[in-house]
Amino acid sequence: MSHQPFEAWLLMRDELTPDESGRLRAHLDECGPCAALAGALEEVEAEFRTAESLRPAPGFTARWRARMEGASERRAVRQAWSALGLMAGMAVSLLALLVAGVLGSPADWAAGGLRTLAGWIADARLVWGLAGAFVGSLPEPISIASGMALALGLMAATVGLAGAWFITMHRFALPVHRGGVR
Amino acid sequence: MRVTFGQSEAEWVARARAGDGEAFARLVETFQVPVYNLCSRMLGDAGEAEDAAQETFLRAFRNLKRYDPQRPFPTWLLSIASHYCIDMIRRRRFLPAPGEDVPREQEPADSGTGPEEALAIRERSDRISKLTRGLGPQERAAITLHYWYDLSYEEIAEVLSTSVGAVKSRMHRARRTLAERWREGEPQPALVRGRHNEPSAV
Repeated sequence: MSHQPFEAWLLMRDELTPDESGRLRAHLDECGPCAALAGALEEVEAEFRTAESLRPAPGFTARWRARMEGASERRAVRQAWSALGLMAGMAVSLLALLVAGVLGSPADWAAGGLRTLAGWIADARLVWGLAGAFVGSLPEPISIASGMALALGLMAATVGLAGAWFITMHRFALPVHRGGVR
Repeated sequence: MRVTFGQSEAEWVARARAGDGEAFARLVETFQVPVYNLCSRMLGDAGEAEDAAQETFLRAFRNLKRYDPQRPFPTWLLSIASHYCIDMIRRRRFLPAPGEDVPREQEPADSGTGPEEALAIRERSDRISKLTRGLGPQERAAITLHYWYDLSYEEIAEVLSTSVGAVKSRMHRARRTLAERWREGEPQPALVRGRHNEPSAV
C-alpha cells in the first residue's frame, strides 16, 4: 500500500478539497502507520496549542534598562580607548619615521632640522612684526587695550581647548554614574 | 497567541524612533512575554532565554532607525529574536555549555499561579522542550512561530528571511520528527522510521 500522497497531506496540513479529504479518511481507515502518524500529529499539535506562554521573571524591564546602560558604558569606554589607541599609534608611527630618518642619514637630518627650525623662527618673527605693526598703527589708548585683549584672548582660547578636550575624554571614558555620557 | 499591535504601541514606536527611551521601555514591557516565550521555546533554558530576550530588545533599540514602520513591529521583534536564537543554537555545537541536556529550572508561566499549577506548567514545558530537541534551529523556529504565534507560512518566511517553500519543507520535516518522538515517548511501539522516510513505502 502506498502512503503517498496521504502522508504528504498529513505533514503539510494544507487545505484539502472535499474529494481529497474523503480519500484521506478512507486511507486512514485502512493504513495503520498513517493512522498512527495522524494521531501522533494531532496530539503534538494539541500539546503545543494549549501550552501556556512562558513569562520572564518579574522586573524584566528594569533588568533591560540596567543592561542597556551597561552596554552604553562599555561602548563609550571602548570608543575612548580606540581614539586613544589611534592617537598613540599615530604618535609611535611618526616617532618611528623620525628615528628611521635620523639613523639613516644623521647629517642630512640635522641639516634639514636646522633649516626647518630657521624657517619657523623666521615665520614667528614675521608674525610678531605684523602684529606689532598692526597694534602700532592703532591710536594710543586702543593699541594698549588691543594688545592686552589679544594676549588674554589667546590664553583663554588655549585654556578653553584644553578644558574641552579634558571634559570630552572624561565624559566618554567614565561610567554613567560617575558623570559619563548617558 | 497572536501578538496584537494597537494604536498606542504604534505611537510608542514612533516616539522611540524619535529618541524617546521611555517609550521604548514601554514597548519592552508590552512585548516581553512574546519575545521571552519564543526564546524559551527555542532554547529550552530559562537563563539563556532571559539573556536572548534582553539581547533582542537591545538590538531592536540600537537598530530602531532601520525599522520599516510599514512592517508590524512585533514581527520585526520576533525576527530579531529568532535569528539570535538560531545563532545561539548553532554556537552551542562549539561550546561545552550546559545546553539542552541539562535544562535549568524553568520559571512558572505566571507568578500568581499556585505550586501545583506551576509544577504542571513546568512539566509540560520540559515535555515540549524534550520533544523539540531533535529539531534543527530553523525547524524549531518555524514550529514555534506557527503553533505559538499563529503565523502563516508567508509570515514565518518573512520573519526568518527565507522563502515560503523553505518554510513548508522545514514544517514537513519538523512534523515528521515531532510525531516520531511523540510516539517514542508512549508505551506503544514507535513508528518505523524507515517506512515513513520512504516516499512510497509499500
